[in-house]
Amino acid sequence: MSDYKHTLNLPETAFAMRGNLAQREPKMLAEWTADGLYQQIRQAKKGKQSFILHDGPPYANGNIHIGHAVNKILKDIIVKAKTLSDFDAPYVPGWDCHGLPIELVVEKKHGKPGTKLTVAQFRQHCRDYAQSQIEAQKTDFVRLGVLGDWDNPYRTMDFSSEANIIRVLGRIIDNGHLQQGFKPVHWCTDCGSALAEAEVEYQDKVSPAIDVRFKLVDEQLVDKFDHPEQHRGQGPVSVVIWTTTPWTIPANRAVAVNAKLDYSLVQVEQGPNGPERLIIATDLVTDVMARANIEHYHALGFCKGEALELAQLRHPLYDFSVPVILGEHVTTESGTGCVHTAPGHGQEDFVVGKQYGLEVANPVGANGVYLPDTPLFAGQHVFKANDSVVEALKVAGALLVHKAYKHSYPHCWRHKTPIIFRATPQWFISMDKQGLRQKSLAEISHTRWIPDWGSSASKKW
Amino acid sequence: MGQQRIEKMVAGRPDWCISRQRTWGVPIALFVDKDTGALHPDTQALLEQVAKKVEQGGIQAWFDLEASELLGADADQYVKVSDTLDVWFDSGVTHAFVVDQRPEFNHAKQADLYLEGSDQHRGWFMSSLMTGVASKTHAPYRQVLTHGFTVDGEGRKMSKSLGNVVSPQDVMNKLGADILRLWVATADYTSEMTVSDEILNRAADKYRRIRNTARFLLANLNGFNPATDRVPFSEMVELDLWMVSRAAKLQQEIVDAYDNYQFHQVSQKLMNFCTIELGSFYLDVIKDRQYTAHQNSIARKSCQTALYHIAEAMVRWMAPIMSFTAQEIWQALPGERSKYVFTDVWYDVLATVPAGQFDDSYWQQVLQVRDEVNKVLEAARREDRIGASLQAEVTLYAGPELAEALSKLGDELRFALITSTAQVSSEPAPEQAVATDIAGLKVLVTASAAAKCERCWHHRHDVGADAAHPGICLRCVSNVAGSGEQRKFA
Repeated sequence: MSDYKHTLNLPETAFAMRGNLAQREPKMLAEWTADGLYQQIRQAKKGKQSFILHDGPPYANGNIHIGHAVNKILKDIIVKAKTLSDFDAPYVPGWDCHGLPIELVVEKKHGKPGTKLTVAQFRQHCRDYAQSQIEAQKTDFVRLGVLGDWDNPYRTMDFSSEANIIRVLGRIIDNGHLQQGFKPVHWCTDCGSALAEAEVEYQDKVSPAIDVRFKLVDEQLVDKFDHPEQHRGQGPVSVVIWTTTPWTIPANRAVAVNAKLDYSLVQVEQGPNGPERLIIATDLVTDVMARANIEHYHALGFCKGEALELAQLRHPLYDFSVPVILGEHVTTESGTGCVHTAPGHGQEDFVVGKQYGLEVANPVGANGVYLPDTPLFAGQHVFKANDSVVEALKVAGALLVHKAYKHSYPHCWRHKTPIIFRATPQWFISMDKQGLRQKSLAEISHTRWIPDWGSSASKKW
Repeated sequence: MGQQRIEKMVAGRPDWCISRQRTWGVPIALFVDKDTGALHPDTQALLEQVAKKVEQGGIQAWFDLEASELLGADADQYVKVSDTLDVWFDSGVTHAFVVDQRPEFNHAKQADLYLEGSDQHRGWFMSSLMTGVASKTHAPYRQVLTHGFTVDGEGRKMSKSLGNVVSPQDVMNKLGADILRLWVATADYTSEMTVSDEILNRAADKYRRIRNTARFLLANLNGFNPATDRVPFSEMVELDLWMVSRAAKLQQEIVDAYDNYQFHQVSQKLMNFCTIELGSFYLDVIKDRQYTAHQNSIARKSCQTALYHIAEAMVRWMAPIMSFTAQEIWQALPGERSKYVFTDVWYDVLATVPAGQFDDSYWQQVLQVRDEVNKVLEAARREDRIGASLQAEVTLYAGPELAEALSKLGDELRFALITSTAQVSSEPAPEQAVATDIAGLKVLVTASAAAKCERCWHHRHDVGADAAHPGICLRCVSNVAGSGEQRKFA
């Protein structure tokens, strides 16, 4: 055989069996960078049909994790495949640079703005820090083999970007979408700032759930109920509300009922305070009586919610009265069917309050502490004040039930602490003033959403 | 799913609060009337003046600005707003300051694609849509693609406390970026993407198979100069031509899959091509011709031409996913080429492959027959009746149609089966013939009584027929000392 071995065409290659990628890849990258590979591609595809993948900017803080890697690799696969299909497919990576997380890092390192350093110095530190994070992230993205204009990325903190962001705001104002408002917004008392929807996380929280009596100013209201048994019962008359945020009671300015729901006037025979009469949505009477451990009661009469409109109730803690108002958001899913309304602390409360011209009481400061002019609770943090409020309601004879209640509650994505709704003067892009909602919905229908489970081509089953 | 999701969010969302009371943000650079709260009547002009200043000095320029500088004597009547913009506004308007501004985007009306994690329906996709519609009346994108989150092998979120965090830096330093990239392409990004050391090791196994296939192609292209050695399609051996046409068809499927952003399809098709069509059939069959045919014969060059076309196509299919390895292959391939695979286009030579003498279903049938013959050979090997398959002589007893089909390959059927002889018979099969899964096909295997050729290892009765070459068969004599054997089919 040895005689013939040299007559065979045996395979031979310098291409290594083992990839040895951890060593090989960085060397290749160095050559790609030195060659200006990305610009070579731009040159080769100049004038070809363009395909624009626009990079969503990662936040310039922290090391890249596997999710970033997945995102950049998917983008790179698409850009390279489109380039092989002879498109001019540039890839301009970007970074999101402003915002709270960077402020918090800089605060930790250098102190709050306006203390040890000026606000201008603070901003410069933020800028420098963001740039250092960009450099670190960039190194990792490049190492993934992602080809892009890494020498000339976009950054939201570039002066030109900042200027253009202001210009876009101008266009939005010009188109009539900007609205100034005094509105309850998600507010983190640790950030001391409003939060965007996307900055809110829902987590379970145990809150004090209370049923509270709002006594009628004028008991004549019972006439509005239809009384099958022809007698009106005895004892004081209260509308019962249910809430999981006792700290908002000081800001209460109304109780909302649903015009179309049935309400019962319930005679409590042997309540803790002797006989009394309570107004509760008919569907919820049994539930409320059960949580209040009241066994002996019967309905005296019924009426629709609309009959109760503008009845006056005593505020349970303060010396003024609040009206019964009508709201479509009131349901019998839970509670009492009579909704405690604090326009400064709830979106729906705010909207319905606006219709009735209610005061947007706003007794809570940016740090979550009651303002100095808040009777009974001045200086207390709202979450710590829950107990004081419950105690005050008890003393006032307004507390019907007090139980711990576990529910899903909004938290700050950064601090992981519960947030509040707080009315503050803010700027809004209005969804409806100039039809932004409708136009956006139309645009959504003109966009291709992938994966699209609706189309049969990509159905998985 | 994405569409209904964002539709629901837009239908139900409250007004967008864009103001923040923070320090590190783009200012809401407005002046409002002290008494009425109304915007300054010249707000548009003022904003442009502020923008010019910010272009020079960044956001600090606004905070340093004295109202009187822009408003003159009216300054006392106005409050300079100190709020900053929600950062989602910043990123939401990248369409305006990146896509609309950068020259490489050619003033396109919209981006073709936004691609982010599925949490961005309420984040970036939303803020981009709101600002796009509010500032220029249309969405900034034509298509939006979302991918799932990464979770560990058991579908759990990654967390330090669970110790299941896979860091991309570790993967790159241990296995390499191409393994990470191959994992991404293999995973179905439309749902949660599972990753763990074990899953990455599986990707590394796949990588090795693809790399080995590429290496086989390159090793057999040793000495091949496509400019001078390439055989025209019309002169190629039928089997080679068929493999090239398979690659052409696969290329269409792969480019389609890329166009539809179905990368797991790409990686699966690539993998199947390497392991099934090439690995378990074609590359096995051609070894005989590659190694033993006359170096400059059509028989060998046809085969190298096929390998060359396949390699040219495959390196491009790989490039978007296994970029480093593709470039490494690119540089090892023979022939003149640009320095980088990334500036090139799909291998369009494949589009010109003509139909061969036999169609695809014919070769699929041969492949099935080969699988059945292999089973019978394997049984014979277990019974110690034969050793290597080249020690076997096979007779295929088939119905008239199949017999006629297989006969078309003539003596070259044995090369497709990798046996020393292969006869086709439509006579009734003897008792020793083994039935197969193909209706009417029975296979008789016998150990060859002929001597083994020292050079090609086939057992042939003509070994030693040429006195000058006593140890080898006449086919090898022709390949060594003559003009070389001719092949038409396999």
